[in-house]
Amino acid sequence: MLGSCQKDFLERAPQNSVPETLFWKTENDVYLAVNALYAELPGEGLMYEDGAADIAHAQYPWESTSTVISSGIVPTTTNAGWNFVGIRKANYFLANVDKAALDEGLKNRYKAEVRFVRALKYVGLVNKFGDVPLITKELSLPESNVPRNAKAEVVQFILDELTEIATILPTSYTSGRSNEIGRITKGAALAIKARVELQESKWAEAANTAREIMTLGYELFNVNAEIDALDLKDDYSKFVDFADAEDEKKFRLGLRSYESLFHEANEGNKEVILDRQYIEQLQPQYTNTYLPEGGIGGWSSLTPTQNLVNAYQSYKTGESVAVPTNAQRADRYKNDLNAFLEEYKNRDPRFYATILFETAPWSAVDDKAPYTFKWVAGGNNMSKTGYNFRKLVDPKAIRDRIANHANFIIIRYAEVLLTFAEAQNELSGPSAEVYAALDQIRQRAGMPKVDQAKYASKESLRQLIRNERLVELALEGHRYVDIRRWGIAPQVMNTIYDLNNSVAQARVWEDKLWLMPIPQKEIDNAHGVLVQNDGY
Amino acid sequence: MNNRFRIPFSFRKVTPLAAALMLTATVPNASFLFANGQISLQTNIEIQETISGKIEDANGPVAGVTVSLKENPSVVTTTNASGQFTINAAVGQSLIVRAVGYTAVTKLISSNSLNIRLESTTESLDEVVVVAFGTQKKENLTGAVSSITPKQLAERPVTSLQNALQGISPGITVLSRPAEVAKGNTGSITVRGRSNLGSPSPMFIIDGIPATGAEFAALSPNDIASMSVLKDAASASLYGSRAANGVILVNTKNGGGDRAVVGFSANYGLQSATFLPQYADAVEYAHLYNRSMRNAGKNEVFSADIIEKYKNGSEPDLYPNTDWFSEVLKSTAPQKDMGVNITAPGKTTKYYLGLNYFDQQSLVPSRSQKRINTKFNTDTEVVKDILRIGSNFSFLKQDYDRTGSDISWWEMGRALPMTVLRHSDGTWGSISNGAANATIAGNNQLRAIQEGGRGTNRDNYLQAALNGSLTPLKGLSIDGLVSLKYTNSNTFSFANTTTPVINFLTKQEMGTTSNKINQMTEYWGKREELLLQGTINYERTFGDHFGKATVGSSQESNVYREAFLGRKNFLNNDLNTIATGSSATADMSSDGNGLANRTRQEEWAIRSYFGRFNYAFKNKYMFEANARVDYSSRFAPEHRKAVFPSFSAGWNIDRESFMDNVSWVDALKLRGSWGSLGNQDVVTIGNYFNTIAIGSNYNFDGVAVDGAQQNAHVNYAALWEKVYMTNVGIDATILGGKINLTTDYFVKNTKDILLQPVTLATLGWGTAAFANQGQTRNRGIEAVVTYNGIVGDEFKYSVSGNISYIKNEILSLGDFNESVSGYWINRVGSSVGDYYGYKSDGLFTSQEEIDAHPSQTAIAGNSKVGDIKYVDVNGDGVLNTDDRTILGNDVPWVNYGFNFKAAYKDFDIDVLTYGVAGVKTYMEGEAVQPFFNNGNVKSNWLNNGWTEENNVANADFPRITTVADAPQNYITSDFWLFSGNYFRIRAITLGYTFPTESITKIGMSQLRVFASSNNPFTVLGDKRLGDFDPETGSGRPGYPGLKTFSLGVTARF
Repeated sequence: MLGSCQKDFLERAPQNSVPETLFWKTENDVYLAVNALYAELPGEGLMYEDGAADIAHAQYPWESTSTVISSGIVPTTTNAGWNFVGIRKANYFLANVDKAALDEGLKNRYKAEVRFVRALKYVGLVNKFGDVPLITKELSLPESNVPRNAKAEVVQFILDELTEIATILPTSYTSGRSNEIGRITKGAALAIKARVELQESKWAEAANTAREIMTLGYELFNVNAEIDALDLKDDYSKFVDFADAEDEKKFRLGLRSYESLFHEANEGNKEVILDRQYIEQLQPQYTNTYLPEGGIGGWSSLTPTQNLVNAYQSYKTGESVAVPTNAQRADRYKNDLNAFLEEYKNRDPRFYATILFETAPWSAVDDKAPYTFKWVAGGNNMSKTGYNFRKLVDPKAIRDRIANHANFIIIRYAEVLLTFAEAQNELSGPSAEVYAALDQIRQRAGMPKVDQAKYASKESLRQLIRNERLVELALEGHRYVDIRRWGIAPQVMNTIYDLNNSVAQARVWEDKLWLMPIPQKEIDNAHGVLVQNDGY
Repeated sequence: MNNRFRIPFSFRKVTPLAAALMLTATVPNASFLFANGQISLQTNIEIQETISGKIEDANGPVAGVTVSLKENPSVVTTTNASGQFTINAAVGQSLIVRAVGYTAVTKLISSNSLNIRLESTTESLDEVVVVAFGTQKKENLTGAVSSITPKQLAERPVTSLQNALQGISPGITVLSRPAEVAKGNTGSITVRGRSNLGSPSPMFIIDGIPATGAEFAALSPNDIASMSVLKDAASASLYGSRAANGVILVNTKNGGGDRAVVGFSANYGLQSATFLPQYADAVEYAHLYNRSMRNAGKNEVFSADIIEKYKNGSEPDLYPNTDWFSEVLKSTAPQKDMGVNITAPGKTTKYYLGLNYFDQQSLVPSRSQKRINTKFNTDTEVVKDILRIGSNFSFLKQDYDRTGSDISWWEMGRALPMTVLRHSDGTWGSISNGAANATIAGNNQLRAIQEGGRGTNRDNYLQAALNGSLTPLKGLSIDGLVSLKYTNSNTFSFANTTTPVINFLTKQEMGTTSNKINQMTEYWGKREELLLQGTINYERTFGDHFGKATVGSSQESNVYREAFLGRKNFLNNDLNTIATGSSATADMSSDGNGLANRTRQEEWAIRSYFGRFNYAFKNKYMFEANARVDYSSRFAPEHRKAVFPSFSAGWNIDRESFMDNVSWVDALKLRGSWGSLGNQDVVTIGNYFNTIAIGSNYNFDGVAVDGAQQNAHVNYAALWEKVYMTNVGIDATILGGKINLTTDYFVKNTKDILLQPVTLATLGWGTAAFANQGQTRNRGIEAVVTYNGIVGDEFKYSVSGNISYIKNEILSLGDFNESVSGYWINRVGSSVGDYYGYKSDGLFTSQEEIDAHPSQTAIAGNSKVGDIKYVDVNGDGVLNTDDRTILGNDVPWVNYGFNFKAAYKDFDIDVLTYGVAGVKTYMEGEAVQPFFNNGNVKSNWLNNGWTEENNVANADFPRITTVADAPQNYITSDFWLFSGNYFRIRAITLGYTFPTESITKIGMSQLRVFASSNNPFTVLGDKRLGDFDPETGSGRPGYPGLKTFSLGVTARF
């Protein structure tokens, strides 16, 4: 009976992937495994970090946890990012890579790239939760119920790792297989290190690290001419009193330089230290869907708040501007459009590049009909605040009716300059170096230099630096941490209002919100090993 | 029609001889003439005369009895009201006399006038039911088996297999899970409830060959000869490792009888939705939205004059009132079913041929499914009494066609009444609430299903099986079975480029509403299933002792291979081959598993050895023992073997001498069994195998690069899930066959349950590999009682009720006593499917009440009047996570149904009902949450929700806000737990059978017309959800539940 059956009749190995026993042999195996880790780098989801803070409103609770986090009513079922998948992948790689035969130098470099991804994951975890389990090896199922390590211990691990990684990784890549441009560099390791040192108020270390990066050849991105015919149609003279043609050109180039830094056409420019890369056609990123309003096919998922609008300084003076009260603004919006629009005149070019306000032109999104922004209060896929974001959206993709495939910048040089300025000022007060770093950023955007006479004290300059950081890095995912490390979250996490002075989102602050809750499911299933953060 | 076999058939010399031989085998009274190089066939024609007669039983003449000529069955007639008949026949020939309820009689014609006496049958004694690897007399069964016999099927034609199953037994739950017309809609069938925490589907065996639920659903009821459900472990244990959730055995018809019978059936039905979601209309929406804004301290959105515009409908291009569900879906969709079958006897080969055609339209316009199902079964006696060879051929062709893209229920659920569907100038809607909105316009589902593209599924399925039976000695048989199933499937989809919607106000194109890049994708799949099986049976009776032994082995392999192709950027939308697409690398398609131009393969195999021993003494005491050993490729070599033993015994009490004087008991049997079964199907293939997935993961500098990473968490030590079931049952027939009772009590212990363990995030895997952990126990009672009654001579009826009650208990979960997952908790000592969360106590009606209540801020933020009040379950004065508790259960542990059948003269009626009790449903998303996902709100919030005017604690819904404005009302609590109880008329069939005498003239032996309806009425257990089909499982938008009304006819010639 059944004489025909072979001995291996029951050996049915999975066919759609490679058995692990045949992997981890060659250099190519390792190359592929490293590439897979790159997909763990964060992408445009980083924007929602700002939706969880005071400068943006994430209106859909089903889209992200930012809605509940910003409301201040954070049930413990919220998962604000308690995730160890990338860490497990990195640990698995590090546990197996030595089985493969490849050049020792290249292997160390690959390991450093993977360790960077792991360190970056831990940066996200400590920022949200404080103490977190520090897992540096593969865990089996029974081993996986582990307690939290002190935040300081995890931060020290991150800094030690990044320090060592920076000594291994090259400053740049030459392109070609295994040396592709876009891989993690020494600069990226140092930039994240500087970011963590700044977050931990290690001023001297942060300033030193930033200074080291400033020698690596990065520079701010600039465009020298407006080349897109549609861009030229945008008329800003309605909003800005230009002194002369030269002034207008400075303004417009500042705006375009800042805006197009994020567009697909300028991927990999000299300001980019590390970006999350997307495969053409295959892997869209969703900024063009999340950010625009319904009239042009977007969802208005994240919209600017008045707090952000208020932060933009005067283009003419370089100083903060006086803004109307919510009630005044609502009255003007309803009764007198011209008076209402006064608020949006003569502001930082980055304001026009970042925010769509009533009547704001944006010709590049439509080559058939001229586009100007109009808010529809209460409409679906419309802003709840009265503003929409324009920054990070690639208008060319909208008019080509394709998804945005621009790489999403994780770290750029402007952040390093701001880190340097803040750390150095905190360390030893204003200095020529500090002003120079700030002026680089402001001048790229077409703004006047810092008034050194006015901002001569550490305290006054601190306020300027914080405002500059808010404006320059808006929507890039820094604000959630910044308002916590500066201790201003209780002051800024207030109920937000729309242009009609109607509540856009009620927000409360409680001190438990310095840290996020560990998801209830984890607490339940850890059976006492994980201890919840205070207040939850 | 009587002449149909008299037409001479001529076969030219190219005609295969085999075909001619086939005809001799199947057409009675046919012979061949060999002349002039031709073979011709003609039937024999006799000289006849008229024979008359009368047929009686113990009570007198019997009407409607079929009388046919044995030598030529096409000569047939029936008796009239006084039992008389006349027929053309010759003395020396024989008549066959048949009637339902009587033993057939063959009578030699000795004179021109005959009197024939009929004896009524005692039907239950000889009833044979299908069991694992064979058949058994019903009276000798020792396990818990429910069956439908050929006789029952003949008496009560069913319009669907599901209905056939639903009525026969308690403990079998058939849910018609609504799904859009497409391949793979199989409904769900469970036997004896859920015991493991995953897959509850039973195993299907069609003609001895394991099959899928989809194959079962595609079977035509016309082709079914008999069906059995093996419920306990002893009956099912010969199917071992896949039988833990019961086994459904189906045998299709075979040839036989004394003449060729041609059957015909057709029915035409209209499907419509049982329930459609009752969303708010534009005016209701405006009021509710304004109310929710006010409740959140925000400005109202809809002004009085806008609401007035919605009310008076004066500006439908700006302020419409669109009912999307009724505009997009058809109110009825037709369904057609037709079948022809031939049952033929033969000298050496008998055969059955069934042809069925099924055509079902969807409620979503422009999509339909067509199915052609062919069955050809033969049975040949190769060497008389020694060797028999049978074959089963099936061919199933299933076509699904759609124009437009697939409908998005997600978008249907969020389409607003204030959005224009089409403007008065005929252009697609561009306006929502007075303003142009490209995002909303682009989501218009009517536009999508008309212009979005097209798609087809083509599934062809061929099965060829050969079985042989060698009986060299009396009582010994050696049986073999070889089956090859071959499935070929193609899924084609084209997404069109579309033109933009025109902004109604500006007449400009809304660019983002168009699709600029078209795409064609195709999946080609083939599945090969090979089964080899051999059994040896020996049975012997000596004196009062009967013994039978069966041993056998089988092996099965199942290999599926699939190719995925696809490109983008075709010249136009009418092209049909991938070759016409763009060859640019960037235009290659992709799906969730990676890039196109790819094949994938999945395979598994199983090898088994099994044996059975039966013993009976005087047909009074029966004993059976079974054992099966399985080896499955799904497990690592060390763990691959599993042994499943079982034992059962039966006692026919009515045969004891002490029962001789108990005249009211006709039959009484006590059954008992114990056995073990396994379950392997929940384990994903490769669960034990550590693999690295290669795929396009990242991009460097504009070029896609491959990445490699671990596929899934792996558990090398995964073992079989084991089920141990004890069953005690009683079968009784009393009061002269008027009352039948079957009742069973069972205990089903499931051990080593294969679960994906609830993992901690720190493991770093989203889901863990299946591991054997956990143990549950189901204890259940099942009972079915049938009363057969007769009123007068002509009104026969039967009423039957069945109930099953199962109590489930989790006995162990491995290392811990509980694990929480989503809305549910698994806790040792409670049941599978328990909801876990906060207990609610109505709504707050005053600020004082809030102030006096323990603070809810820790769990829910700042509650306001009208918000849900949660219970401080542990009484510690604060509400926190410690106050969560078990709230209810989502498994219907109580199932019941009533059947009513009646026949009066030539009319018959059959009513089938079904109900569940003790079940809760958690409602979320669009089902209850206002403006969820920017969508609509259910209209019953308007009058039944809390408002300042309706400030009552027991309002149906809390203070209305968007979910984001009052998350405190939407944490998991029993407020959103609705009663899932329901009672529904599953089917009503009303039939009329034409009197035989009126149809024999036109050559028919049977003609019946019927009208039937499925799911015509449903009673819901929770008034808050009047728009929810309880069998959909969730109140969220999806293809609606269906009710059908159909008319049909069946005929036999």
